Amino acid sequence: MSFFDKLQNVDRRVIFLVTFLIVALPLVRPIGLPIPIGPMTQAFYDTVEKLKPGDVVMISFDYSAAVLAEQYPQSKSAIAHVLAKGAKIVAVCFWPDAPTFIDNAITDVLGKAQDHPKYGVDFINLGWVAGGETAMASFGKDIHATCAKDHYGKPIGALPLMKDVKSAKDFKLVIALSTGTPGYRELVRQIQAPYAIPLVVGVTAVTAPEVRPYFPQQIGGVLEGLAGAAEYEILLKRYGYVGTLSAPMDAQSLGHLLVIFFVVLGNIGFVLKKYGKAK
Amino acid sequence: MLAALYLTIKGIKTPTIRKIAGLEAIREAVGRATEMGRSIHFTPGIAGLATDTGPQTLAGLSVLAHVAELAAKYKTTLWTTIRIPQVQPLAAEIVRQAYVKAGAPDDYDPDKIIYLSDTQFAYASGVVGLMHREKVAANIMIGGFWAESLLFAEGAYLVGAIQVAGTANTSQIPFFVAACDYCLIGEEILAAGAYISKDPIQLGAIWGQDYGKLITIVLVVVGTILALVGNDFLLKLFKGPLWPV
Amino acid sequence: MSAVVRRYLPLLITFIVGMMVIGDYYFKTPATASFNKMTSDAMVFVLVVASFAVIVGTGTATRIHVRNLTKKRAGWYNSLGLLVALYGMLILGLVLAEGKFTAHPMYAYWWTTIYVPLDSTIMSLLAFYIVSAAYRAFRVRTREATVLLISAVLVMLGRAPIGQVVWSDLGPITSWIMSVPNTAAMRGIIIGVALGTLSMSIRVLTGRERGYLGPGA
Repeated sequence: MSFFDKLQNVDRRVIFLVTFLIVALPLVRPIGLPIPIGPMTQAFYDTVEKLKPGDVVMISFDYSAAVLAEQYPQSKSAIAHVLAKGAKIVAVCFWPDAPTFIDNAITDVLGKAQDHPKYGVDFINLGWVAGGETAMASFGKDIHATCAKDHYGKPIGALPLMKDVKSAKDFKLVIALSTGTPGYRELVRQIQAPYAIPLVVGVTAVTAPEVRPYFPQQIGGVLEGLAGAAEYEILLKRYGYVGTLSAPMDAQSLGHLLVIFFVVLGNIGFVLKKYGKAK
Repeated sequence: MLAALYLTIKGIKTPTIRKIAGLEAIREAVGRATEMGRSIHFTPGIAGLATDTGPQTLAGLSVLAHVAELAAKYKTTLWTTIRIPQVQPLAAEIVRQAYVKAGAPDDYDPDKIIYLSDTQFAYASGVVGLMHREKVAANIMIGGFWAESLLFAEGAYLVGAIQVAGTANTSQIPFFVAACDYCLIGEEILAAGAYISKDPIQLGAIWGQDYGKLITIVLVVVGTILALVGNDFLLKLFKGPLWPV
Repeated sequence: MSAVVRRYLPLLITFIVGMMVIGDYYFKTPATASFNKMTSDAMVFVLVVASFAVIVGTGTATRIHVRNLTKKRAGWYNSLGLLVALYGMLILGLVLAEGKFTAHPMYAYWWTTIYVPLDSTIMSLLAFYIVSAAYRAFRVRTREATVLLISAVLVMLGRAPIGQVVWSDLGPITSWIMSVPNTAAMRGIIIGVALGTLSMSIRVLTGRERGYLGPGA
């Protein structure tokens, strides 16, 4: 195998090992690269900033354990920001994995979830509603008929927060943290469009390009993957929010550089071999 | 759309669909597997039938019928993996009928249509494990795919399989384009079902969709021109509900 | 039940319920209040049916893996592991959770300690596969491939903090690539797929598409 062939055919075990090292090392020894704020994250932040005390926000947690690394930081930040504005949260999920994530996220932000004195007053966890897009439509029409009890088995009619919240019309904002189907697209169809409610979303980086066509008409702002979550954490510093994504972003930066390095390496071998043959 | 369906079902007009390179490559993929004495893997995606990604699954099942018929004809082992339980009996029946049609009903093995798991990544691990154990020579993936798409594509590449893939999920198309030999993009997979089956209903639906796209293009051009001259009639018409909710 | 009823009753139900939901979207007046309420109730019925579909999935998985066990097929121990995990968590959530089901701390503990890391680990393989797939695929073989390569490099750099350190103008360039050519292509595909979904829905409502009814339909 010539040198140019070797450049084009690096053993994938070497690629995997180098990838592991490059991504793992900054997690142990962070570099501290500055994180600029993107326009989509800024739009997300600005939309949530418009909330007033007493406004009710629906946060839909539609993701699985696989994307926890990207979406869980978004979840915590969104909850912290909404509560910092004095607004109230109706948390629901249309994926079966997510009720525990809601519980964990609220606990991470407030210290407790179900046992918190403000549970049922400032926030509520309605748990999983089975049925996908139909469940979203039903939820938007009549929340009490769709979810008679919360995730912990308490009738929601008895909770102060839900006394004046009957349907999607009572929400001032919808935050969709979604990764697939059902997700933000279904919420656009069943909640945002019929009830004309502002919608902002947090998605994985892979999903970010396909959200763009909805911005800014249907979707007012987007947290795009881990980068979006890190940018959002920086914007929330003014509320005293302590972010944790500096090291993972360093890892992501080096990971991206590594991909570019290997792509360039392969192309050097490809081009030099091609022109070598041409001569 | 209804008009197109009507005309096609009644046989008044039969639309033709252009050649789709990925579909032509399926025969090559099956042939390659036959020559190498190895098996084929097929998956119709991880979407169900009742969601808005249902058309992709049905398209995948149409392609499965074609692949199964080729596999039966060439006596090549075909593994079909399924994620959604409701799809499994459909897939099994489609493969069985394909084997009967190819004149090899005794070669049909229902144990080769496997429901692996309802969970996305458990299904993904099962598929990659099967591809590695069976050393498949051809991997055909037509349907709705999400994050596991690259796991399948790379998993099959590692065993040296030729790959034909297609999905209408825009976030996964780049992975298939990068990692697979042939890729069907977007509604090419919906056309694939009609192309292969020649079913008048599917053909009529594709034809109707094309007219729908033509109307959309006209609306986009007209709307752009109107917006440029300051008229927002079309914008208001399409922006919100027609009347208050 | 006669074959005719078995064949046409599901189609009739599909048509009626479909028309109800469409009508409910367009007609919301005091005069149609009882119709709107009936449709809301029908949608709640769907949620109940969807919940029972979980039982169907569990039953199918049990049947297949018990068969693997009894016939001692290759990898039967994996089937045993699956059944132990499946019914272990089921018993934990239904019987031992003191009525709290998945909200019980013990259920949440096992979920968080076993399932979440497993799911995340499989997903994390993508990081390695993306590097090897990009290395293999992004070659300047054609003009289109070169454009793909350049835009991929620009977006990868622009979306990571280090990109702004390397070149401060990268942010606007990345934003333009995502907002203009990417959005245009996505819009085209989304519109096309939406038309495909509309077409399928029309076929389902008019009974032309029966694939969802199962084999033999």
